[in-house]
Amino acid sequence: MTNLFDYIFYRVYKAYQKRDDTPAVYASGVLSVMQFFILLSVLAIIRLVVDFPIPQKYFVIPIIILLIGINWYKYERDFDFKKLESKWEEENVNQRKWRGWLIVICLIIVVLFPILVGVFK
Amino acid sequence: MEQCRCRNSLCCTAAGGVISSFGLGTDVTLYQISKGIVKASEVAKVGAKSFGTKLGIVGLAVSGYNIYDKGLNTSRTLDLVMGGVAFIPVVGWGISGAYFVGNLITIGVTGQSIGDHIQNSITGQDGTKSWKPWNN
Repeated sequence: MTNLFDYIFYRVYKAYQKRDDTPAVYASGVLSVMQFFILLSVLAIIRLVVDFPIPQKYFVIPIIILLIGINWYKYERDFDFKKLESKWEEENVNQRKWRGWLIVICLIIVVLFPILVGVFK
Repeated sequence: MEQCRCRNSLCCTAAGGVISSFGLGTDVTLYQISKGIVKASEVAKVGAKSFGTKLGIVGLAVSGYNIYDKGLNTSRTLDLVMGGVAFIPVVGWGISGAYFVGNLITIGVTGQSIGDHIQNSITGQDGTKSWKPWNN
């Protein structure tokens, strides 16, 4: 799982590197959003099977702050991006393209799934 | 003592005098001070950007959870989209920041968000009402 999040961070970092001088801020942010929506999707799946009441919206603030804090600690504070670069720089072009699309599709699915459950339930 | 890198030796001497009088010693040159100020402003800029992005993430998470819990309406959808727009460097912050500040002002003045007003003016119904595909 850590490897997967490292790879997502690496790809988002690379994508923002050409557009901004602080890509780690965005990469860690996108990762936090993705992790939060994965948790929300898991909650939505569980509630489809066993319905139980959930707290109001402000309950999520400590959870997302915790995720942001963990990602800041791991990827923004004194993080050596070269370690990730050396791990995946030899990646095949076709594999890179395929994995890039997979990240985008996964992000769309994890965001859309709880929204659709919320609309249709 | 490190040699002064600025062209005006008089300013360094004067600055050195002022700094000495504050007890910092003559080792601190004007060049080092200006370098320190530039570095501090860069750190502040990155800090502000990082803080702004993190606030956007919190907003995005709260909007997503709210849609899941209460369903879709114009206000919640706009909040979610604007949270996402904040990830577009420079242009995105401007649009997203303007929306969130404008939204706060609108809520403070009218008691309803921008999205609630839009939904109200289009459908003529309560702006806070959730959209249901089979029940409109």
